[in-house]
Amino acid sequence: MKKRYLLILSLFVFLVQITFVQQIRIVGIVPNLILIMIVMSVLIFDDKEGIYLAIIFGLLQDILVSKALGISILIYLIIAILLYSVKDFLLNDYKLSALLGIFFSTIFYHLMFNLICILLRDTTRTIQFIIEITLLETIYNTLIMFVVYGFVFKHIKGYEIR
Amino acid sequence: MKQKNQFQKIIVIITIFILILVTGLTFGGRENITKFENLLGKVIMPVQKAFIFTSGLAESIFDPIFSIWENQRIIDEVEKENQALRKQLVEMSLDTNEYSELKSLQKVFDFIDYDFNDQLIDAMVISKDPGNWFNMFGIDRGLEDGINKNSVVINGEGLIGIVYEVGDDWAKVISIIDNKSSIGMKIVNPDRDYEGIINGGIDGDLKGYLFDPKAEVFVGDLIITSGKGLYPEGIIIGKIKDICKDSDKLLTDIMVEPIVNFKKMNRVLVLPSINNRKEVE
Repeated sequence: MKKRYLLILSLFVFLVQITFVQQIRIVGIVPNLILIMIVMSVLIFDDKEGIYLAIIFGLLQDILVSKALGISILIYLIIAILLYSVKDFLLNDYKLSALLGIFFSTIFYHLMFNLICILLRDTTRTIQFIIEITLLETIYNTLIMFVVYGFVFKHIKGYEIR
Repeated sequence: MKQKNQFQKIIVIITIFILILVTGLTFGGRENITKFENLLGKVIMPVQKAFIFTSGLAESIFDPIFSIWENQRIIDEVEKENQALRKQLVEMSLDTNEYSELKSLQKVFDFIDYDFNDQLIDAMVISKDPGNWFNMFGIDRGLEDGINKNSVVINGEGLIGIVYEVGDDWAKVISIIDNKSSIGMKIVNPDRDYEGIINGGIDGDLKGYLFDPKAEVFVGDLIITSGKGLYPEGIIIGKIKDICKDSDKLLTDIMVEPIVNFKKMNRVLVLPSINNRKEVE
């Protein structure tokens, strides 16, 4: 039941990200709710929900609004796999774990993305520009995670976060 | 158990390798998308439309709050521009080449030839790239409406980009700042008829060069499409932001700031691709 609920919620979040969130850019930057959902799923659920979400989100993003098929699935999937591999060292009922998770995932996402763009000889971006966007999005994502993680954790696990 | 882990690792490595391959192969846009992609776009489009309608309402509430500083900057710029334009107007009225200048301005305000106006297809923006890097977006028109890959996309401000990939009733559009393909351009001034090439450049601007190494251009000069290549003549692209004259080079490099605000687009107009356009007499 919770998995079905997660899938519906994820689709809703995806649609919100590609429509609603785009209208409320702050300093021209939007947070990545999709990445937040993937990180939360990896930390909260015991099975491989985070990996399934990474594939679903990545596929939707690539088909509907991306420059290449596979680019988003690849990045989200690697992030989910890396998080699963370090999950045993993180305590998921600590808010700090979630904050660290989203902080490093966002930075990794942008590093990976720009690396792929360089390899594919896409349009050039200066280091300063990359740092500015990465930094702002990392702050937004971490702030959103700070606000929502405790609420989602309690709703799913049934007890308060530490 | 150890064998299972080993097997999982191999699966992950193979998957990643396939994804890298697919990314490389599909980068740059495809002539035809798969049936699955087409179907997915068809199924999701009505939901996207509903979301975009709701988000439009939200925009009308949030936009004035988040845009206070930006609006003030725009007002200041417009005031300065207004003063410069008044001065220019006086100079123009005294100019002996009044007629040719007015013809040039006519092109700017009308954007494109009248024959093309009949072929323009109105489209609604139904989705935008969720990230902060690309300025790609989805529209609710596709092959069934006469749109093809490389159809030109504009709005009331100027040139936006071209259709990147197209489904039956939806399409993906790539902005000019994200696209590395060249755009033939020229300066809007009958006395300084310089042409050149620009393409998606660095950090959201356009970078290019003028063919004439002695070209007299200035920061703020308006740039329009020259009609050479995919784009019809007379669509506003942007304003010159920076000029770099290198004596060693035989070309004048320019940086152009696009006229279109790519973050704020709700409706666009699509012109069929060059092969499907009616001939302009």
